[in-house]
Amino acid sequence: MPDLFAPVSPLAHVMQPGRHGRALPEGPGVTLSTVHPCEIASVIAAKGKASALAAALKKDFGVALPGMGESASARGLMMVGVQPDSWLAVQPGGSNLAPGLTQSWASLPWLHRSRMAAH
Amino acid sequence: MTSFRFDKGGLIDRQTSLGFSFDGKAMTGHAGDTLASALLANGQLLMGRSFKYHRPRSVVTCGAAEPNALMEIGEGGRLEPNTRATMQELYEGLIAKSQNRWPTLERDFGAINSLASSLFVAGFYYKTFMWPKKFWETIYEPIIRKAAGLGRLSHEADPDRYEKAYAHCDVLVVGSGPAGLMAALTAARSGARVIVADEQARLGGTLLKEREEIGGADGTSWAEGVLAELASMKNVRLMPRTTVFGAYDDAVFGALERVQKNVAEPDHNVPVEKLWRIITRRCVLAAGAEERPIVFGGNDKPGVMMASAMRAYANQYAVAPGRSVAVFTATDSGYRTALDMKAHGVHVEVILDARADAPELDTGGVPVMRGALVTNVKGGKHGMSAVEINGHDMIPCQSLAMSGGWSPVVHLACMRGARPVWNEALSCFMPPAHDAWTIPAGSANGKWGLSDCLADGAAAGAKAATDAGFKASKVTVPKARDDAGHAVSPLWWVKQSTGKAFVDYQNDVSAKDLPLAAREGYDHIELAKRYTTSGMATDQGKLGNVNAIGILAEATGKSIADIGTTTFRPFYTPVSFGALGGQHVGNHFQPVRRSPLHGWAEKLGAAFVETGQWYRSSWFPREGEDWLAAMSREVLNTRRNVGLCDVSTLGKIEIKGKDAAEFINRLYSNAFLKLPVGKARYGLMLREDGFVGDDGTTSRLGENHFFMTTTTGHAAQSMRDIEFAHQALWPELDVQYVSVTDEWAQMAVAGPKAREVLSKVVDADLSNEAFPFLAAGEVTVLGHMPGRLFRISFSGELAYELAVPAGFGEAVASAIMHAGQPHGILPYGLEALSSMRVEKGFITHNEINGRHTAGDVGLGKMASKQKDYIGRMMSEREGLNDPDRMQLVGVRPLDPAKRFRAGSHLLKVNDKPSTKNDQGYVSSAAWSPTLDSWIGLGMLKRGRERHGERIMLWDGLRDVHIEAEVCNPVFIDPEGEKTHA
Repeated sequence: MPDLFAPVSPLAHVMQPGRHGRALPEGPGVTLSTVHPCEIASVIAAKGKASALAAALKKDFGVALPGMGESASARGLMMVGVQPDSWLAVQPGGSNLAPGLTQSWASLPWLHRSRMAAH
Repeated sequence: MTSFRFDKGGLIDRQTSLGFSFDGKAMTGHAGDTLASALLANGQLLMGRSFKYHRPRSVVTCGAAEPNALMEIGEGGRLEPNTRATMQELYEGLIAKSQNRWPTLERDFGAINSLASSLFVAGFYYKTFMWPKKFWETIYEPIIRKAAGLGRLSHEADPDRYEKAYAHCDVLVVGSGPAGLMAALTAARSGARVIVADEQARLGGTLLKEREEIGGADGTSWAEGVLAELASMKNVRLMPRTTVFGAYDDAVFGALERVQKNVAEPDHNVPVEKLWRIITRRCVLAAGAEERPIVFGGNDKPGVMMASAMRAYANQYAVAPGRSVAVFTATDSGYRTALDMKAHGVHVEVILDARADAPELDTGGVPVMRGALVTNVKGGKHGMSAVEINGHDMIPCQSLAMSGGWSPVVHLACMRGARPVWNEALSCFMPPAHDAWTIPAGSANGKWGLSDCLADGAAAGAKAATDAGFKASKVTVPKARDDAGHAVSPLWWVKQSTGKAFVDYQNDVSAKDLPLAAREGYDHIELAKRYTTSGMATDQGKLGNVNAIGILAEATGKSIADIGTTTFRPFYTPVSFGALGGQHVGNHFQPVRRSPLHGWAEKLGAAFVETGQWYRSSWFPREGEDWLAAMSREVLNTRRNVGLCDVSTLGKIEIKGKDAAEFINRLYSNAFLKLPVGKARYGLMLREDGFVGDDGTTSRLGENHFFMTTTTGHAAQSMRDIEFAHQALWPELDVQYVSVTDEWAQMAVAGPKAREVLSKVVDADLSNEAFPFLAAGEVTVLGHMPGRLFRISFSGELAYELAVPAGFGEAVASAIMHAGQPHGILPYGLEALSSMRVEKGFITHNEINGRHTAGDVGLGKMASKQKDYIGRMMSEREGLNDPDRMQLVGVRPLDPAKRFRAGSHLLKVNDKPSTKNDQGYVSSAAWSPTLDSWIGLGMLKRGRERHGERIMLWDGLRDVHIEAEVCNPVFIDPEGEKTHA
């Protein structure tokens, strides 16, 4: 029953897609749409391993590891620095981010990925 | 009334008329007016009643410091009290009302206070209403508060939107007068990102208010030229109507932008006010200087005004408070008012110069009396008619300008604790030697002449840009026409006054109150402030403080430098709660959290209950069922067949790392170091003080990989505690953790048939041998879905908790319900869960309420003696191990149908119902469908020794007295046979 397992968006209850506020050109406004599915994973480097993680990330995904409060993206993968030695890996489209990261970094036993939901 | 508008002149748009009302009276003004200038133009000199004596008051300033002309603006939810008419832009349809008067401004009953003013000295209320003490709260204070005070609130919800915003720049320039504009121009041409913030609707500062000449043009035109250049630069942001109200650490400044306070009906898509957090590298403080009043008899009467304000009203708004003017001055700058008023065609009677040795200055032909002191003002609520000089001579005039000196607006330079410094030569408090971030400029820096202000501004702008890392560009300072002199001889108080002389208008503090305070021992400036109220309330003494300090210095024989100032704190001017709240109101303040299974529960007709931010499914009623019937059915079905309950709201924390086991071992009071992979264990956390903090189960999914659960309500606090423990206590541990509460949908499948049902969904051998009680592991669900399975039970049944990624929660819950149909599966809610946990004697935060130890709740033996952990040391305190402490027990009423509630007191059967006789209390109460009885858990002194004893349950609120029996808190299956099945 494949249809049964279509994931539900966490925004399903509150999301009202469309334009809101005073939309351009008269002034500021926002346009809401859902990027769904979108996978997000927490990536935390083990003690003292941030630079090794940066190297692995650069090699396998071509993306530089950004600093805190910064982001960097390449090949559809965005890394967002959220706190020291901690990032969010964001991949719109839900193309199996977790296994991808896991495979890529299988050689790095000290890398800790939290399990993620397909949001 | 004496005030009027000139036929020509001013920076108002005479083509645009705006209708407004004041106390119900229709009036008109022009675009460019403030409410104050429009009222003066309509002959409305009387604008309010004073705080204590209800004296008639008119506007005395032309800006932010206004203490008198405070009004209620707007109606209904938009009503805003204590608005300064000087800062309120006029708009079509503005509704203004005067405050602090009853029944009307004209006939104010409270003015009777004035007759008894000799009684109302400083500390009057403290001295008079001391006895009897209990009357203070019930009688005296409410009456005093009704009589005194400022505007009132409408008690209706504010319909408007407010926002918070951030801005970043290299140089923040506060003020857009001559110094501010030169600073901004210099910094901006250097390439720095510049923000110019000014509290007024129109930028230009004093250049709009004074008749100046810069570079051959008039001051206003010059300002317009500079502003046009600044506006054209991409690195400059001009922010009019924006008051920088606070200076904070790390060069962060707070500012309030009044976005839509100039319209009757705000656009709902735009906030009415915006609270800005401005992060800068340098701040140029070009906030100008405040003119000081002179303290003389009748100095608060309508018609008496600051000399600079009178000029500003004439020059910018083309209004005057009277058709004839006298000027009372202790400064050279007072002479400007005579010249300006004369230029506008207003008759200037005389310049009264308090200085016997005043220099010869241009008066435009107006006579000067040197050494003249105003001792009283003749006049009433509709204006003045004459001033009394030196106690005898009367000079007729309709208005009086006063100038006692100038005070740099130093507030933003002093808000982080530095005190301003008294400068004897300039007779003013100067900003403290500037810190790394704030560079004072212009008159805020004690520069009184226009040329000096322009040059000082340019220098400050260059320094700010250089400090911020830019190469300062050279800007030519234009030539300006300067005044003849800037001398000041401070005059704190005309002691010969025959009328009442005020130091602080807003609080009705008279000059005599300060020496009185000093005589009574309140001679420190901070004490004198509190005792007399001088410098308190919405204006914080912007006008009166320096005079108060001068008078206190004289009274105590100290120097002004020794007296010093009171403490400067944010906010410079009042900021609305609306702006401080910003968008964080209603559900944006307390967001709704929904479980990933919310939709699933909704489809099954769940009733929801709010627990903190969460909405949890509480019971699943069928037609005609109340909560009790639904819950009973759910419990019985779970105990007989199988039930499914959403437990997704439990806090979930993923913990990994080489030292993860060691870390967890130090967090919990019981041992975790040797927990085998594939096992779950109940854990009890203590707080640092030794009391129980939280509980939950933690499973070991790998050698260095744990999954911790916390209670729903304590999840955020537990995460904070863990962060603290790692960051502050044991940073050396190699451990990583992340909250995954929202990532997993988790469901409990409980009941004798749970294994059969779950086996159809989970691809694993669930036999007791393969997956025994407290087993934990990663599984796949329905062939391909990742999941985690835990054999734990909060119901006392054979039970599993299955977690799947949140987005798939609904689908998996439906699949389990489908698989469970032949076995009679039903959903159960929080009520059933609670009833079953009480039947089993499991604790929650009803028991973990900060008052109980592990021993109290019956888990004392769990605590490890072999290791250290948070709370161990403090838990060994004698009082926490007293055998007399309350202990967890069960309570069962003799009549099973008698309902009682949590919070009921436990008493000995024959004791009088009184908290003095407390033996303990009921912590949890529930209907037990299994036992067909109300049951409860309670905390009872020496409870574990008292099983079998009769006891009284007393609920004083509901007047319930029920006899009950103390029992084992585990009501059913004490051996746990069902759980292990």
